[in-house]
Amino acid sequence: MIVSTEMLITKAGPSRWYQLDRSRWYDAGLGIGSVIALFVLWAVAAVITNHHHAGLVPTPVQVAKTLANLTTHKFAGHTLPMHVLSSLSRWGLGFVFAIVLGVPLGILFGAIRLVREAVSPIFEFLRYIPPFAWIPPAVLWFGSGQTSQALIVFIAAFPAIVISTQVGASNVDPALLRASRTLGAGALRRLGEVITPISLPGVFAGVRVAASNGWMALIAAELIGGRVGVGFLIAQGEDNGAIDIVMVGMLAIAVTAAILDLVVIALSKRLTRWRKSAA
Amino acid sequence: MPTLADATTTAHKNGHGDTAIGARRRNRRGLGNFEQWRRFAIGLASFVVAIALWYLATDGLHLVEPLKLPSPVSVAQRLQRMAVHPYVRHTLWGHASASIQVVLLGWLAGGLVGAPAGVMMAWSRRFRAVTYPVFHILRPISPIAWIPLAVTWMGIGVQARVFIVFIAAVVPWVVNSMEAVRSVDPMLVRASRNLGTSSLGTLWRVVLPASLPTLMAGARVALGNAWTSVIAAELLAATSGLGFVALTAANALDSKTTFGAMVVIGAIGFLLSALMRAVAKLLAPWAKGL
Repeated sequence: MIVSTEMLITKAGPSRWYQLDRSRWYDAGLGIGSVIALFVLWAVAAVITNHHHAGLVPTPVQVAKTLANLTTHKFAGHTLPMHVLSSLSRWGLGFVFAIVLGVPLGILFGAIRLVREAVSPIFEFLRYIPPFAWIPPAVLWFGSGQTSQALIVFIAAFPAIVISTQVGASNVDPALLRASRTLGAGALRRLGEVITPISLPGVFAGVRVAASNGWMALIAAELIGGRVGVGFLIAQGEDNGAIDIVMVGMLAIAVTAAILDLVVIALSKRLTRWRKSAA
Repeated sequence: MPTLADATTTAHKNGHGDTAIGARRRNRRGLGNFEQWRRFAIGLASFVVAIALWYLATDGLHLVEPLKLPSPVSVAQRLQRMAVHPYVRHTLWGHASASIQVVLLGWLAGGLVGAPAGVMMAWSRRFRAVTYPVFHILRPISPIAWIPLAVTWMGIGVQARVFIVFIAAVVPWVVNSMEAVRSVDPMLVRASRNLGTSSLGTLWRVVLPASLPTLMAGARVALGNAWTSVIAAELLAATSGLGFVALTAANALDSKTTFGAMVVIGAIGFLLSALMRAVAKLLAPWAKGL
């Protein structure tokens, strides 16, 4: 059995949080210290570079001020929350399409061997083309508007969902399927009550990757073209030489990605509550 | 933020082990060869069918206009032409090698920083306490979001692209190196320490060989991420490279060149991945399911 060092530490240590040994507090202190050091270094770098190129590296305080400013004042046509919401709407569109098409395809791959063997080599080859490489043809097909951006999200999210669904579906023990069939469950009930619950945890692993891939690809698409969205906000900030706005945009992108991830995890925990331990 | 790195580590740990053993058993019975040939034949046939369908939809029955989807023949002809005649200053080879150079530089830099950092994060608790929070704060910022900053700081030269690739590659390097060391059986470590090997000696002679397969898997994921991100960086900050070619051609409504560039991007992505698998087999032949 493989025991991680973490487990050894917890096993050896006391059981209640307030009894944590002193070295844990020490570790936490080191962590906080290094994060503070990061911000101090940033501020120092900002002050030094401002002597020669004003605005090339804004201070943390400036970025915080710009953040507060952008939540109420419009830049590049909208306020920061509106840019984020606009990006999220296109992300949602592409993502929902990826799930609606990807999950059935994954189940098909998992269930029928010939389909898997015939389609997966092509699928695998297409996967070697990064989602960003689809931005040029998307521009050819739909121009650089909302449709092509949602398409990019779809292309980035789709493979992870198909593959994880396939893996999840192939986890289903055929004996269980035969048993439920013998006990009189129809095809729909088998799908709903046997295949779905068993493959769900695997599917969610893919959904998590897909959500973050889709968000990343959307930002790239928005950087290249469009009129609204966080990526567009960053691109406009760059064009105006406003690095503080670029940094606020980066922050918004990272925070949104983290929130999306938390939502997917929460959803996955809720839908697979019957599992004894989360993967 | 989950990255492909996370998914691959878990797949490597949970999924592949069983299938590798299964394949080995089948091989012993002599069925493996037939199975492989059957799969290869089906895969090849489906590729032929896919290209035939592509041909039928374009040159064959003219269902799609060439601007939206050029025929495979015209794309192949364009690639042939670009192999000899320059397109925006470079031939196809020039653009491809520009992309590959940036990828390799960024990936190597990511490995030089990320692999030792990941190993140390897993090995030394103090080091982890200092670096992990900072890593965690910077990690959710996707490499793509760094592009405008990199362009402002470094211009649209090679530096900015190498920086972006570095950011994309360093995360899987760190995460998988850390995972690799942590998955080593602690019994081995304690045995080695008890037998009198120093901490660093144990790291070098016990932990590193044992974690090499996962390290190699991490290197492969990092290379995949690097290839993905270089294309994104080339769309925004380049005057050469395959991503640059694809977007420049799309803006000029030159669909043949765009699709030609995409085919080459896919082929190089495939070759890089195959190359990493071969290297992993060479360096860590005892690893299963790579």
